[in-house]
Amino acid sequence: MLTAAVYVALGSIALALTLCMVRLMRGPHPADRALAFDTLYINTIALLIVLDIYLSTSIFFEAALLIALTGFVATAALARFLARGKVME
Amino acid sequence: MNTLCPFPMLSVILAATWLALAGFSPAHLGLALVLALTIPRAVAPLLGGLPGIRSVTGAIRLAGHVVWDILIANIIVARLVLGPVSRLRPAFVKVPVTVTHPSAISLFMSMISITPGSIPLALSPDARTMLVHVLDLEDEEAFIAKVKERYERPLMEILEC
Amino acid sequence: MLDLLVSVLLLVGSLFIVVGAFSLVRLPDFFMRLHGPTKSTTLGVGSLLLAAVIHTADGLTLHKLLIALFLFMTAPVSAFLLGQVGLRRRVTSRAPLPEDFPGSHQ
Repeated sequence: MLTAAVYVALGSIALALTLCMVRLMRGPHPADRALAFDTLYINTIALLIVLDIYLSTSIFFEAALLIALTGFVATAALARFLARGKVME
Repeated sequence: MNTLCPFPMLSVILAATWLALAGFSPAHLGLALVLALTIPRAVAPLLGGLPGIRSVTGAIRLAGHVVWDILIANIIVARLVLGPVSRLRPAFVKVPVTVTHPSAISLFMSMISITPGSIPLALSPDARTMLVHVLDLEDEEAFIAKVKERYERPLMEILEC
Repeated sequence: MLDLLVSVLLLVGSLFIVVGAFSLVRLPDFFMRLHGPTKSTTLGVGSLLLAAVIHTADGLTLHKLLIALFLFMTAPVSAFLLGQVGLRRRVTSRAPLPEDFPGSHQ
């Protein structure tokens, strides 16, 4: 039963990633693409967590933690650039 | 004491987190102490003054409220998103802010952000009003009253500011 | 029994993640799209992490909780910063954009 649940979870996260890609490509505004990127990295964290459960390890958690850190910084920098035209002042 | 360790709580949290993440050993204990003493001093100019906590039980109760609201929020937002889109009533609402301490304002905005279909998008330069986008607004007055009653008032009681 | 709990948490978490991503595609304007992902994904990842904590009980529990804590702390900030982009660039919006809000064009 757990295996089935893991497969369903992996499938739905893959679907979610595809939906994010649709918005990322469709836009229309750069702000939409930044939002799609933000969702994309959070969903990637989710994928790594489920993979860890699937493989019964903990090796991906370090990667998930790193993506959480860098993803936020990337979103913040991107949003500031789009809002002001520069990252630092 | 004040110059050596400007934020004792922050130092304790930093040391505990480091030891929990890296594992406990004498070397890591030393490193944790160094980090706990240097990082708060390095970020002190950014933090300004952190408000003290007046009531721990109040803080726990507020955290419980927020967790409960997150659960409800997600179910409500999921239903709104899956239902007919044309029936949604998005709106911008100007919410007056009573708390003055930067940390309190930040906490207030964060709590609004992670609960039902509302996101603060801007704060006026005098920090007296915030602009909130609501996904499905039924009654502006009721929304403002609810947010202020549920999050801002407990915050004023918990923090010393 | 524990497996059942893990399975339920996995299904709930992935459901919210799909709903969040789906709202990104479905909703008509930028400010409305902002609501779906920033909320659903945090709860989605939160329950997946809870499932992982219950399933693999080892010394790394704190790492997992740290990810959840970090996401819950950064989600409001990301949403705020992205919202600022929408306000400053005056993205098309179904709700009328406020004309006079001082914070939106400094």
